[in-house]
Amino acid sequence: MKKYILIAALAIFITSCEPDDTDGGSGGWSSPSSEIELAFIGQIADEPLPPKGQDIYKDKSYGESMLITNWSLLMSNLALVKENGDTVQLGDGYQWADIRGTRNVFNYKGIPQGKYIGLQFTMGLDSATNHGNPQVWPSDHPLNPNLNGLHWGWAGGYIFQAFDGRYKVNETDPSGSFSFHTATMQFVTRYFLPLEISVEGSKHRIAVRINGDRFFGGAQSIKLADKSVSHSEGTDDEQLMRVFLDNSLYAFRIEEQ
Amino acid sequence: MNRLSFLIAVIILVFTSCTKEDGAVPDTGMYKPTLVDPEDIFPKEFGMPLLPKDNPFTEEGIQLGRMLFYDPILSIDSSISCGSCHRQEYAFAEPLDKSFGFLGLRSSRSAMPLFNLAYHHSYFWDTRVKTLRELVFEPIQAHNEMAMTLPTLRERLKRNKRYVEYFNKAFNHEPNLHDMSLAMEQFLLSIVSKDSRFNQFFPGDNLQVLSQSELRGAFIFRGLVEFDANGKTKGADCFHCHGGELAQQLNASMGGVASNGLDPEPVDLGVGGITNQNQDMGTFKAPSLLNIAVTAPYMHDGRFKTLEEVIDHYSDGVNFENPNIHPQMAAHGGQQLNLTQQQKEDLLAFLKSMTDSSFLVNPAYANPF
Repeated sequence: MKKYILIAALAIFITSCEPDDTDGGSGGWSSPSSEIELAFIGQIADEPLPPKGQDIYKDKSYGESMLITNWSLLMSNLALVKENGDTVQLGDGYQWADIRGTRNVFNYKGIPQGKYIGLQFTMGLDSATNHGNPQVWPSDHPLNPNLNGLHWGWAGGYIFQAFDGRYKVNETDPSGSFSFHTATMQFVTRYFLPLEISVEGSKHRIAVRINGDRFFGGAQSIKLADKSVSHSEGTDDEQLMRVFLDNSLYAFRIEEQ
Repeated sequence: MNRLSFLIAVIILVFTSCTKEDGAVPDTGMYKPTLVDPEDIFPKEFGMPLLPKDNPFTEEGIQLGRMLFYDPILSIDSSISCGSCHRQEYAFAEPLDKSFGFLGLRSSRSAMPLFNLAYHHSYFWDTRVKTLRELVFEPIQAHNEMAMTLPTLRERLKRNKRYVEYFNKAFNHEPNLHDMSLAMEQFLLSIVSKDSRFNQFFPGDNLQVLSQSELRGAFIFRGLVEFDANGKTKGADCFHCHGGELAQQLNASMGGVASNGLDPEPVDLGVGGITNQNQDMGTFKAPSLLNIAVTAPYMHDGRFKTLEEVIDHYSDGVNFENPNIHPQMAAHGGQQLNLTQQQKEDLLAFLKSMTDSSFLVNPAYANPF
């Protein structure tokens, strides 16, 4: 009888050591973990976007001003980077941020405590996922096309970033429109954002601030009065998108931890 | 009190405390609902929609919802049902710019088609309602539609022997308004249109189902707007607001809600009338283009009588000065597409391939009376 009691106790002990939360994706034995709140905050000229309905035109380059009406970002390989270079994937690594809307703050539980030196993500998807059947994703998954509205339909593949809005050359002029949609495998872009954070205790916040005006004002500025649309297809569109994405590398930064 | 009296009192107390809650009916053995697997309703090609967890599909619930949808007793003078203005042969739209309601009063906008609603995140042209169980109360109570009052409707349903039976079968309750909305939600969610030739063509690797003209139209539909030196474009960029297998953009920010330049200034405030925000003035929900050939007239006010007129608008008549025109429509320098006559005919042919003829006569959605 004693033998059976011992086996039962051992079984209880082992099953009680299952990971207590799978959201963080670290797996393994139970260890001290925390919750991370990850926020993507859109800005123009270093100021947060005003609430919808209170939009005003903000200065960008070339004397133009702009307001953003739609800003969606589709990410994969979203992960925190440890000091030793190991990564802790956030959720299943996919996320869709509607930066101009209300879906831009995400909570991840079960993040192993310790020091982290960076946040990484890929804007876009690997080829198999990008060109696979989009309907396999559950209805509330970031890649579900009926949720994110970012699938191109029969052309195949997702829009990785949609950035739309209006611009003015002079305050008194009627507005023009701009539309930059990043797509196709050649424009998949990886980002590494350095941070220094020691994850301890129950909850931490990481805020990624993205300056929309810098997409147009980097090493090669984009004058919207000349070119205001790119859907990543066709020679002109591809050249414009390349400049747009090169500039975007300077648009992201982590400010709050 | 002797022990026997005390025991009797306790037994009575126990039994009376176990009666059913208000609204329930005695168990007649009729409540044996048959669950319906959502995978039997929604095609794999569309994916599984996000469904309300507290209202599982049952055969009895869907049947009750269908009866209520087609029953004119939901209107104050028992003259109009939901099905009066949402007619199956027109994809549950109506061939009128505005519907006739109680006493011949007209609705404020055209009746929207009803199918694939389970995939939507909001309802009505102005997106003011987020669930179908809320939606059903609006036309029922609107003075210019069914003009019913809810207390009257509740009593009317409770007095109706057929509904006493069917509410009992579906929910184990006597007729009540909450279960009425759930049953109608089940029926509306279950309406699926998926068998058009466009859906057989989608995602684009089944070319033989389309004619040459339809196929050319598909490329115009899907093509981006890029003007050549002669000011001609091969694409009309319809897909941003009407893309995917549902032929509808479901993300409001990506074109699911938009102004398409109907007027220089917003006339009907649309979504702006709900949010009171400037950028929403004159914007409306972009409808699915499935079954578009049978849902004339077009736009929220039914201003276009034919698909030819619709194509003419997008080709030649967009009001780019509209302050809230969608950026994707206006990002090409405010230049009209100026499609050729051949392009217009091909686009029209492609739009007609989106008709699901079997859906229009599917007995599962037909009037049960």
